[in-house]
Amino acid sequence: MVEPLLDIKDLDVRFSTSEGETRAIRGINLSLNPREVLGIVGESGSGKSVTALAVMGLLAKNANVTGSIHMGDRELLGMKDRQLSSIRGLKIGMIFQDPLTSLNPVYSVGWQVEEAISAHQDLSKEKRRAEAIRLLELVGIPRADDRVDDYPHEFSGGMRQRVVIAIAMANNPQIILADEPTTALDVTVQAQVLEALQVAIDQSHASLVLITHDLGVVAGLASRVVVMYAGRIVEIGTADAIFYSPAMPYTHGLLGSIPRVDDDGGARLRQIPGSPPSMIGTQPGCPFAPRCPLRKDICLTEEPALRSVSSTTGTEAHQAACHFASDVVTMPLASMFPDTSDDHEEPPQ
Amino acid sequence: MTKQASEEPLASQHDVDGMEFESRGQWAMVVRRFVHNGQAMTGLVAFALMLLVSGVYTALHPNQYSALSTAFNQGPSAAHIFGTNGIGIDMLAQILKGVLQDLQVAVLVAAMSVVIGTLVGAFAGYYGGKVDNVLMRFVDLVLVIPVLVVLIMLAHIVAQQANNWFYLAIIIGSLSWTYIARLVRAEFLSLRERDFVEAARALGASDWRIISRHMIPNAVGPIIVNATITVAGAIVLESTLSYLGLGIQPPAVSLGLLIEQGQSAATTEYWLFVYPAAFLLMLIVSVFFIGDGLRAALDPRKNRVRS
Amino acid sequence: MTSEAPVAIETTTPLLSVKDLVVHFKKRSHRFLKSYENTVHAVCGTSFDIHPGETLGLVGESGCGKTTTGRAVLQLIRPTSGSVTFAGQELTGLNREELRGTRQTMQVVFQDPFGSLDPRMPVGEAIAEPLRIHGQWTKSEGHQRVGEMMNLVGLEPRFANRFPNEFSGGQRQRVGIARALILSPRLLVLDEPVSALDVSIQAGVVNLLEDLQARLGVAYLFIAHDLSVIRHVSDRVAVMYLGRIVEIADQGSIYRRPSHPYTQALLSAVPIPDPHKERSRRRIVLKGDLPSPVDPPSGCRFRTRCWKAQAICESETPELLELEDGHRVACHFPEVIEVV
Ligand SMILES: Nc1ncnc2c1ncn2[C@@H]1O[C@H](COP(=O)(O)OP(=O)(O)OP(=O)(O)O)[C@@H](O)[C@H]1O
Ligand SMILES: Nc1ncnc2c1ncn2[C@@H]1O[C@H](COP(=O)(O)OP(=O)(O)OP(=O)(O)O)[C@@H](O)[C@H]1O
Ligand code: SF4
Ligand SMILES: [Mg+2]
Ligand SMILES: [Mg+2]
Repeated sequence: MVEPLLDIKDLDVRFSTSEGETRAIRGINLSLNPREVLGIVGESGSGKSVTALAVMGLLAKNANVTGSIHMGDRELLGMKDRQLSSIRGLKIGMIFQDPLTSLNPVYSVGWQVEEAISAHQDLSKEKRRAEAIRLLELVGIPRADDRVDDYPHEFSGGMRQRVVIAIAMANNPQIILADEPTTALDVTVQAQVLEALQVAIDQSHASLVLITHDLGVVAGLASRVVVMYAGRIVEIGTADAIFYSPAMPYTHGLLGSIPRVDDDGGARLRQIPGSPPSMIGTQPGCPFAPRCPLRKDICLTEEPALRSVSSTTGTEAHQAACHFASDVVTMPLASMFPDTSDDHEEPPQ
Repeated sequence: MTKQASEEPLASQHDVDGMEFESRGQWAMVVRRFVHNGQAMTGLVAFALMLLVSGVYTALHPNQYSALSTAFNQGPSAAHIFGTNGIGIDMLAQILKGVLQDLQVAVLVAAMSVVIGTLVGAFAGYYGGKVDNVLMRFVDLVLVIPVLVVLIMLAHIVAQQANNWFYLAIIIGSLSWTYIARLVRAEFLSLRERDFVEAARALGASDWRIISRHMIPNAVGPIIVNATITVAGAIVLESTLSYLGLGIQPPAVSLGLLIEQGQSAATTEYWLFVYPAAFLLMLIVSVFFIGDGLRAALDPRKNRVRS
Repeated sequence: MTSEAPVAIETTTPLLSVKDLVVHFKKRSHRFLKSYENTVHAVCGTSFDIHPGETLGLVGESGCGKTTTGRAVLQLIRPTSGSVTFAGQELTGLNREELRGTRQTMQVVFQDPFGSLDPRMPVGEAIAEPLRIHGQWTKSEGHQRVGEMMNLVGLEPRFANRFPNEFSGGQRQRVGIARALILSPRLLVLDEPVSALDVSIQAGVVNLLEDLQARLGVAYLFIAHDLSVIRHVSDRVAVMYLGRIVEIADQGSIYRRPSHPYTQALLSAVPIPDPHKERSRRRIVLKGDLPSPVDPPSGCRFRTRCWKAQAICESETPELLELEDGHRVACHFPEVIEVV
């Protein structure tokens, strides 16, 4: 077995807030292999960003983190900011959802790419500039040599995001963490940015962690997929396993609830009743139980562990956290969820 | 919390594991945050006490504040706990009467400021454009009129009136609404771009309905806060004017007037000066505490610095 | 003969007819102490019809003028020129009083479930507001109608006195829909009604809208940037680019036989949640950026990014011409390419 690049063990993140303790991540285990694209999907608030921020050591001050995050033989958790900065940008490049906040408005984009390079490499001024132009060209900035001296506000959203990608790949990192890199963008621009991202990982041979809530984006890029729900990993497997034989009702529901552009719209959408649970406090049992059509008594009392499932499509590890995973795997897609809008909903707590 | 839960018609509104329901509405939250704010509650309690004591006392002894006695210039004693003045009037009665008088002026001023300021600000902010321009020029004009000069000019007219405090309040009130007007205007400028206002417009709601049903309720927080600040400001202004002889005229009393009358004796008959001054200070500070507490309670973002 | 005539008119008369709609915004910009006035060409001569009970999907990328079109239809923005005819009545030029009647039959649901409800008004009040505005509120029936409406959109009527902040995004959107439907409108303008919702919540609202249409026969102008949602809900689809409709056709026709290069690029860029299919697709990645609506390109507005552009595309504006039955395209070189 290959040595994982990144190994997350029992990661647990709590935030103390005025409303109580938010348990954002509840014990996740995850490893990232070299040169893979790992997609992380899940509803808003399921803990995708917090996972990424924990890896980068960028969590807010009110966070209480336990567990371990190993990169090679180094423990990232609890590392001092000084030490972490030798990893951020050099070993791990990061791309956020909003390119405006990750670029500094008062410096030219070229300057910012050069800055990223010079933080970890000792190059002459000319070489740095040439490298910056090369990177910008690579991610698809047209006439990059003319535009290096332009400022972020002179770029469109999609181009800014490509500049951020250029910065993330500047030092040939081993890992690129992209948190919803295309969520704010239009589809045609998303296509451009995803292309740039593909170029970036091909060039730098990095592994990509792609966080998104767009299952289509994951289907196109990811080799492995993690499904998160309420701060836990509820299913993990190859893209084929997740998309063609999901073993967790939530994944089923998710796949059935999205309209597809290649589907003529005749069939009704399946809907997952209710809404995600509160992240404050702990309820016993499976976090998805209140919304799950397969719920039995055991689901309300005992939390299912993430266990291997044998499915026809996945030869590699396919794991799901459901008491009935082995049944779910054999069910036709989304058949278990209702397609009516008649169920009445109560306000969330 | 249990109180609220019992108001709910059905038990099933409780969470499965018995977690109780969040109190409903923002006002309940505002009240809760205010109640948990020590400084604000101190202000409220002090203010309520002063109001209660002076109200009850003045009601029981309506003429005490001008009743003469033969105890001239006496220091605090059991009979006159705050002493008496040079013509034998009980200081306690005067101070309490003064508190009420000050509040009367301040509340009228605040009420006028809120009504005029809100209307002017609302129309300017809602209609924008020309209406806004005209109204805001008017606000600028009022803003540069110095209250003091107006009062000095009108002094002998105002001073001659029987119910002199009323005219005083009207003059101060008609000049001090500009701040609230600007605030409401700014608030309305942002509110009118919100979707729910647009939705009301799409429903065919009249301008007046949109302003009164949607926009004012959403601007009411800042208005309340500034109304309390106006109260404090009016007390200060009234005291200053009375101190300068332009405000409340004897035989009526106000705290400012008492301070003016007592200051010459500040070193010898300290009670003539110190007690009215202390009450004035308490009054202003308590109103400020209330205002500040309201501001914090209405804007939860600003006081969530604990984490 | 005479008995058939009214029926024929009934089915062919559009409920809403928009002709050559133009909306320009004046924008002031300051540069070096000088102030310039620019014109934003937000909507430039769009025409479309909506028939009773049907859904027209209006799709396009950010800034192409979808919201502006919707607001101009509702007369929330007065069009610079063009005509908007609703149920036989010309709306442009009517004053507020005259529009009040139309407001009952034409309603709107907004994108942002947080911004579109008054935070200080209980949801039951919000749903009842249209009744009050139009003088239809009665003590005896008002509450009942609100309750029925809440039931219809899948909300428990007993939550009527709760405030919006106690509801989730999907539920607030249902409140917005109930408010829009309580006067039984004939047309609903839905401006990105599900874009702000999580996918699992989105499905419920989409299903609800479909059910309501089947039950109430209300027509939708469904505005969205998500081509998958648009395909799912629409009978006909109009694709907008920089203020113009570039292609309009039946849903099946536009998705199976897209003929405008922009439609093709757009459709090919939509990811499909199916790994095998997604990875074997041909993707048209456009070059360059969206031009500014302040200074749109001459001729065909898409020409600066189009791989087929010729000299004529710069000199002549392609008209929206019928290619096949009911399928109209604004391109000098239309050609069907299957992309999904
Ligand atoms: N600094 C913080 N303080 C308190 N709670 C926080 C903080 N940061 C995140 N959370 C909470 O942690 C949970 C997970 O948040 P996270 O940002 O990881 O969600 P996400 O899956 O990225 O969602 P989205 O799709 O909306 O980006 C949420 O419930 C959020 O409210
Ligand atoms: N009130 C306004 N003043 C000036 N310009 C405006 C105004 N409203 C819209 N615009 C401009 O008109 C153009 C069309 O905007 P519109 O909101 O209709 O786009 P849209 O298609 O709805 O986009 P989105 O998908 O982002 O909602 C944009 O360039 C926008 O900046
Ligand atoms: S008219 Fe010309 S530029 Fe426009 S889409 Fe057609 S080919 Fe392209
Ligand atoms: Mg996130
Ligand atoms: Mg819009």
